Amino acid sequence: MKLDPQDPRDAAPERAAETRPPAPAEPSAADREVPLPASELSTAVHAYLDGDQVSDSALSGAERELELWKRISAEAGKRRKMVTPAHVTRQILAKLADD
Amino acid sequence: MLDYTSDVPLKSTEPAPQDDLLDADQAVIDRVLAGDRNAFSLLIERYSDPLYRHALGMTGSADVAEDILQVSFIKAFHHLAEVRGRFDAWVFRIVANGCKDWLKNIRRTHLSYEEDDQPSALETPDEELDRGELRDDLDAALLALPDSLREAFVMKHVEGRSYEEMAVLLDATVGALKMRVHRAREALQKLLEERYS
Repeated sequence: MKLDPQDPRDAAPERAAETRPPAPAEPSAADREVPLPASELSTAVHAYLDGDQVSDSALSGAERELELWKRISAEAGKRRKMVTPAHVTRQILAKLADD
Repeated sequence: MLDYTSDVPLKSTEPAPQDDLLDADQAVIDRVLAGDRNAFSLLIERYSDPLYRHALGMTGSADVAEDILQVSFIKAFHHLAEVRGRFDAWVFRIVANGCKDWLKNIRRTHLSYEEDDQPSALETPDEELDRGELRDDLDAALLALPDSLREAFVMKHVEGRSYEEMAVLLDATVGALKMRVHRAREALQKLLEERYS
């Protein structure tokens, strides 16, 4: 059988240990669920966006992030005012009447 | 203290239904089951708006949201006798499942969705994020999120629900939902910060 020196499975145990890259730390179950970009927001910003009381000092340095989230929240606030188009209710009732 | 609170509606705007509302729902259900079909319109009027916003947030399409809402309420009508507990939570699950089914079908039929459960920050053409206003960019960014994160973000920030309310509707823990919302924010921050920060 021909051995492949580049394949760690074919190397002697000592050599395999030398050449094998260090195993990455096992991610938590939550991290395995969906790989996402590295964290950019501090715990304080998350707490603030969750509506919790957060001190000025905890948020210092996060003004740029807060400015972005102010804009996102304003857009989300507009969507929160959207209502079901009137014709949808009429169509549902009409279909139920046809049944 | 920084004052963003006037522009940033962070607290829930739709508190959990009180007992009297639950009783009122049950009274309407009893009327419908007794043959008063028109009474069903009371339930539609009471709950269609938050459900429409949910479908809109999940699909990004008003037409699709309307279709999902119609199908869901008709389904709810035909299965009304099966309601146990809160009607609003029951009908929410019908709509939420309708949204997820639609997203699954879209992914089956569109190559661009085949890969994932991953946010497609780098798959989205740069010009797509460079066009339009924040509204369009936010829609594109939301659609790039995995379903579970988009659902949590939409419920928290678009629908304005509390974590406790979300936990009831999604049958999940508050801690798990906070984690989903936080992960959604991280991804959106990454997607939008270059253009808007």
